[in-house]
Amino acid sequence: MEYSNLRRQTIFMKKNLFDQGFLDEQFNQLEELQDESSPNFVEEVVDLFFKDSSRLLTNIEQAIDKYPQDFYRLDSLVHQFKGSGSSIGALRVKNECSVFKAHCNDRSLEGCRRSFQKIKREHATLKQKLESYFQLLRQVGPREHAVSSRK
Amino acid sequence: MASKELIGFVDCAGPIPIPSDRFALYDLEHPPHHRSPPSNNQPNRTSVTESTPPDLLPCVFFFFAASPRLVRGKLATTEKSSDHEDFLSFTGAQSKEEGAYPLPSSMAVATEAQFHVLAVDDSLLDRKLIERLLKTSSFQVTAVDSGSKALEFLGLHDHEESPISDQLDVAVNLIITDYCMPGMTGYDLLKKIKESSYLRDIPVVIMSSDNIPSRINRCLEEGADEFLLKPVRLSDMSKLKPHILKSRCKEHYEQEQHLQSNSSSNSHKRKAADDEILPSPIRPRHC
Repeated sequence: MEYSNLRRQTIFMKKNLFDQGFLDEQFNQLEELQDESSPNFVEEVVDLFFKDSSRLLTNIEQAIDKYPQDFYRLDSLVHQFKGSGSSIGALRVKNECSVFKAHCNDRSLEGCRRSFQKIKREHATLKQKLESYFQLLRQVGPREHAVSSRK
Repeated sequence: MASKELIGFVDCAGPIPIPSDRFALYDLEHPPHHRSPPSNNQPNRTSVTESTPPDLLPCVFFFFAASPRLVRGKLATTEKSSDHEDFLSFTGAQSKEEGAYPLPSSMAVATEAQFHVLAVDDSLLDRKLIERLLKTSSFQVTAVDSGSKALEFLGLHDHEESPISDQLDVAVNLIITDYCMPGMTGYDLLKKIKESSYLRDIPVVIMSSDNIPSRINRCLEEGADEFLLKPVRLSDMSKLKPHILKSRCKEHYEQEQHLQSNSSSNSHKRKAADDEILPSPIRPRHC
């Protein structure tokens, strides 16, 4: 009973993440790559993202505060961030990065600053939501991972 | 288990034309007691002479998708250690120092050919992803983080056209590279590969997160076989094998042409301690 309840919760949680635009189809692709030979693949990839992105966010923040502004470097940093985000299916993060890039293009420092705040918020929210999701998945058990990824 | 004798090897290294003195055949099915033991007791070096029983010839050949030269050992191959050991005892690798035929130390001895893909991406996350995609699609993978490392792996320094003779390399069936990389971009890497007579026949696939038609066209015009938009998906992997098979067909055709023109030099002896006389190679049809 408890097991199927947990399982329902994970399905519901994941559906929410998709419906609210936090995740896109790429996340499903990651789940499809997870199997017995690589049973924690999704979580490993997501962990990599958050480890990498923390570093990138710091670099972006420093680059924004630097004078004179180097919009080329800013764009390049955000491009990397956007790429990683897109690789894990982080839709909202990816979209906000596109907005940031547009501001870089317009050489609008104020626009970049505003956008950066949004990126940080989206990033933090996604991190928290995915941590909860994986925590729940772990409670459901490893077998369930393989089953739920076969759609 | 009876040790097996080397009666030769086949060099199936990628697009590199094979000199006729490189041909040989591995016989892993017939233990040495099927033939008379070598009189000078050199288990690692076997002569394939006219006295070789003809029944040995139509046997199972293992074709190694690797150059006969030593491998650097950076490969992340999926070798089975027991097969590896058998292989080493088979060729008497403990006598590597004796001048035995050099072995690719991390070469996979597989009964089915696995294509080897070299993946190039500066992003660790994307490297992990492409590696997983490729392995799931039954490719062997080596992943490097830059174009210059890729060229190094391929045995080519980026300022030279021909491979360095003592450079270690391994056969690669396809190269898949990110476009946007610091230093050498994927496009720069593509150009270097296509400029090299040794590497130009290896199919190259470019990946990019940006859908820019002029960029795509430029890459295709430079000789890229495919352009994939990131994030790359499992369904994209099925696009890779046709390019590999196409280039292998071309390679086999070219080798056969080369063989026919060199048919008179089949008895050409190799240098140094090698006393083998080599028969005409028998090649499987891959395509």
